[in-house]
Amino acid sequence: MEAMEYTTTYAAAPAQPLNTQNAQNAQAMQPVVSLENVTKVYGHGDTRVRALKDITLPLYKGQFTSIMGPSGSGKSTMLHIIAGLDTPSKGTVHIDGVDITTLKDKQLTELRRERIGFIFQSFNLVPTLNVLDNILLPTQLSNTKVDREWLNRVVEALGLTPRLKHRPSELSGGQQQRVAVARALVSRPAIIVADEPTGNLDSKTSDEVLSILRQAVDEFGQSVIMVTHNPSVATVSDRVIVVSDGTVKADFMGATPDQIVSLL
Amino acid sequence: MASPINKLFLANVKHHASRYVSTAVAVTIAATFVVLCLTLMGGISSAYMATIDDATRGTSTVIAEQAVNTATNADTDADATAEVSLTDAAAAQQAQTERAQKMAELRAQAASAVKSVPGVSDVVESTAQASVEGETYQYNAPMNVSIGSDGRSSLRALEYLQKAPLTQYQYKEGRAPQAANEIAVDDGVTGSLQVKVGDSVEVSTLGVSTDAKKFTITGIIGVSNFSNGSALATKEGVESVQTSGATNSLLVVPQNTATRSPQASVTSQEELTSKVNDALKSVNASAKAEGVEFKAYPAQRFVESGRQHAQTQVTAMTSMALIFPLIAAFVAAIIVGTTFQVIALQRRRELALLRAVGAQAKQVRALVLRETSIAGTVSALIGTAVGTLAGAWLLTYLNVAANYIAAFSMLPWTGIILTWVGASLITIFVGLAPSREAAKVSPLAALAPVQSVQETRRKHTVRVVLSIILLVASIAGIVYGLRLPAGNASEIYVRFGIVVLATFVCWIAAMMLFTVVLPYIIYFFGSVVRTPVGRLARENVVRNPSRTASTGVAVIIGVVLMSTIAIGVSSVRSTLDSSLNKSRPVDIYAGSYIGTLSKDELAKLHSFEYASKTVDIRGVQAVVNGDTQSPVTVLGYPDLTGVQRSELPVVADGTIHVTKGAIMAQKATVSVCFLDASGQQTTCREYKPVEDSSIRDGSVHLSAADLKAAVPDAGVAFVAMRIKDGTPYDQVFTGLQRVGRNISMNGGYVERSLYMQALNIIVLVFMALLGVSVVISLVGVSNTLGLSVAERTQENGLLRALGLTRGQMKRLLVMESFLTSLVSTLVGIGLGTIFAAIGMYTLPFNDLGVGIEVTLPYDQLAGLVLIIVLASTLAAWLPGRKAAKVSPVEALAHE
Repeated sequence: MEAMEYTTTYAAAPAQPLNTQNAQNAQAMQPVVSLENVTKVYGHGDTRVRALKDITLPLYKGQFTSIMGPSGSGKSTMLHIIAGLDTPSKGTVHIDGVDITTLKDKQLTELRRERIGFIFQSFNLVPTLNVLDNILLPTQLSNTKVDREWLNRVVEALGLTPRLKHRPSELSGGQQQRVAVARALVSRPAIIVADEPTGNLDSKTSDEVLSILRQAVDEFGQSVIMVTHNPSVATVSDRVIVVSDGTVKADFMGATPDQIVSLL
Repeated sequence: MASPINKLFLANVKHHASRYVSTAVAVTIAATFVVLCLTLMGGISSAYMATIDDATRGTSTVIAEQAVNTATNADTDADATAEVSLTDAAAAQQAQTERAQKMAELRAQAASAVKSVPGVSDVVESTAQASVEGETYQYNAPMNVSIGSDGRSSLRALEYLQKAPLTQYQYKEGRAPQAANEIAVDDGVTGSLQVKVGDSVEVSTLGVSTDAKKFTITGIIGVSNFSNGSALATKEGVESVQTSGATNSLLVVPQNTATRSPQASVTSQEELTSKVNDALKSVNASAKAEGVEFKAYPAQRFVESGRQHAQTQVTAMTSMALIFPLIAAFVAAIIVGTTFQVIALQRRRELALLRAVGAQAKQVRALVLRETSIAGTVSALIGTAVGTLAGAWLLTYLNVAANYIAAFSMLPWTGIILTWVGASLITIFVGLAPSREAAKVSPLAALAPVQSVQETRRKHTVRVVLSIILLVASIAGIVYGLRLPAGNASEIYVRFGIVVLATFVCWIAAMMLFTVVLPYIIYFFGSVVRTPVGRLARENVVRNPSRTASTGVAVIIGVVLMSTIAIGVSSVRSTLDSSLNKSRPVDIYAGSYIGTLSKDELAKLHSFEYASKTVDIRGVQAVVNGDTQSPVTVLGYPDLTGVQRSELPVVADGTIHVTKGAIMAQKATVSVCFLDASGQQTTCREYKPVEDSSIRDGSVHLSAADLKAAVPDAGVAFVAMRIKDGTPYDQVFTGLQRVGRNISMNGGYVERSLYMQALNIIVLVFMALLGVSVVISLVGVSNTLGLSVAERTQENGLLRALGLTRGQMKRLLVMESFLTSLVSTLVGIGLGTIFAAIGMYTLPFNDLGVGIEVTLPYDQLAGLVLIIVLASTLAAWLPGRKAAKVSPVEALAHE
């Protein structure tokens, strides 16, 4: 699989705000995650912080969604809630049809295990396990049988076959992120959540990882939700949501980096 | 030191003191243990010294009554099928009373002769016996009085109530006895007899057929649990019980208070003593006729001899007792060392920041060293304080000190201060290496992202090679030593010494090897577990091999010692059991002090509840080979199968079994003329003599059939009994006492029970003492776990995000703790078995007649494993909770 030149492929499409989408397209899109009137508050009294303010937001299946914003905008908080790592103070959140605000910690944990794939900026891999064990970790935790064919396909697609027995300390940053992607894919989750996945990588490796994620959406039909502060990275996405001060400031399907920069 | 370092240090102490909690716990436990041990030994020594001082307090001279003949018929062999005088009891009684009267007269003469010596204030009688052998002077009252109530009885020494300046006992309750039927006892008596002040008890002398006298308890004297048990009564009271005379010595009270013991010196008392000896010369002339001589000694000699003897004993006891706290301290040092290392590693980033910002390496080292030193010094102080308080309480509880104030004055303050200083110095020393490591951190490390601490696999080639060499050499030494001959005493001790030395080196080498090899053993063991949590745990355990190794070795040390003791004791027990079965085949020979057993006594003995079988042995007195001066007891031995635990030589009809080497064995036949109750000869028979090593001097054995033929109406001298296995000795003793007052007891069961009791106590005490080391090791396991949880915050956050439930997280921690502890325990038990076996084959056990048995107390060892497993699960509880609380969101936050 070749790394694709995303900068040329998508820049041509003009930005289309959501509210001008035609009805047909709207019906074709299924929400895989939806936030309804979600508010998240931290602390109390003088140190009270409202990270998210009454947000209603559907996120669609089979799409690559980027969430952007300056630091302190609440984008990370939103991602955490989308990923089931945190619960809102007010409102409801549905992930793959399940209302997570009613779940206890154990059920929430199981949900994460089975329906959500994670890629973080760093600390992605368990240092004591080798690459193969890291990839299989979520399936092993839930004791589900892994589809060997699927596993081999993913591993090959990510170029990890020669590295399966290596430890994370023996891999480069890009290779480690690829392992994280493989892990996210193998369990065939409902959504893949990525928090600044290319933050620590150089531009070439960043491109590689992003094209892999793009491929996951195109070829394997995954839904990817990514938080980033880098506008050029956002052009890989089908939809860009800009968050600022705990509210959604803009919501576009298809955009160029320049357009996004002007939004921020 | 520079003031910013001080500020930083104080800030760290405030915020991060919790890091050092387990260090504090380990040091506190070890220090408390040491101080407690010193305190107990110090208290026992003081109490013992006080008893020695009490014996001769207020006097300057002790007048002993010494036998003039050299031969003393002290046969203290407990197993002797004792020579029983079967002649008229009344005649014996008469002779005794006459002698007592004569002695009283002589004593009165001596007393008045001494009283007239200038400088003598008073001469007082005492029940204590003085014995002088070479340089050893002993002075104590014989414990030959039984105080009983309602079937229970206690053994005590009866003493006269004395006036000042002799020892005045403190009364915990009540008052001193005044009338002849009043007695004061200690709370040991009131406790075991379940009586109180005002109750009446029966007092009698042991081994004589006098009736018991009734006494009323008027008071409880406060004596420590370590003094010889004494009961006080008036002179009339004591004499009513010990009718053959109770006084055994005279004490001289001098007018000059400066020459009174225990303050006076021997030299100051010598002048008066020689004058007293002169005065006694006239009395001694007539005393010689009774076979007695009055000899005076300076009282202080007894005090000094006693103190010296006590001192040696106490020093020996203290050194032995200190071994356990020192082992605990050693284990604590290992734990503390590991902790300091880990903490220094964890703070690498913070320290690197300091270096980046401009602190010198020296300053960083000072910071870390100061923290570790404070942690150590404060913990040592807490431990010493706790130990001191606990020690004072213990001394009061054991009646060694009358109250807390007295207890505090008895405490060995030098020892306590030394412990505090020592413990502090050790922890400071242990902190030196980590602080030096910490100073080496490069400032660049401050900029690196925080990683979980992982060790680079260091090569330990030197250590491995060295330890293998030592191991092989020591094993060779052990084998060589075991092969050495063990003929006489010196050979045995040489062999013992060599094997012990070789074993010690082997132990050191094994520990060195294990610090490298243990993580791999645990890894191998852990491969059995297949669950994802289990595999994570297994990997986690070996991610920091040297940390796992140190904590594991600490557990091994404690477990090896405990299992060596357990296995050793159980092996000694089974070896002794087999040996006793062979040498003392009969459990109990029950006889009577005053002749043959009565019908009533026989009936009770036959139906004795604890006996599984009883056999009568009849006996009479007889004259052998015409020697009318020394009549001999003839016993008719029936077949003892069912009673005997191993083969006894069977007496064939027509033969007579005599002691090995007896003169009568030289003749072709032995003539035995049986005596009747009044001492007249009845029938005479002839038998063929056979030498028999199981027979003691003074008795001969015939077959039961032969005796019956010669003396059909012979009474039953002994009942041989086999006791039901497992019956505690005290039950047997009390039971037999209830059969009759004059019942005597001999036989293997007594010895067996005494040994078993002693062994049980030893094993309990040792296990408790060694258990402290194991507790400290487990604190170390918990600590290591807690610190690694702190290190792995981000990793744990990742695991939680990926779907590890809280329960699984806790199980992960438990599995880690479990793997380390279980494997270490099993290794420890294995080593313990080897060392115990070596020990059994080396200890000077000769003349046992049976082979050495090494037995494993499976129940005790299983119990040990179970407790360790449970404790290690507990040790993972707190770190487990902390780890499970980790929120993935916080843990994975960007820096």
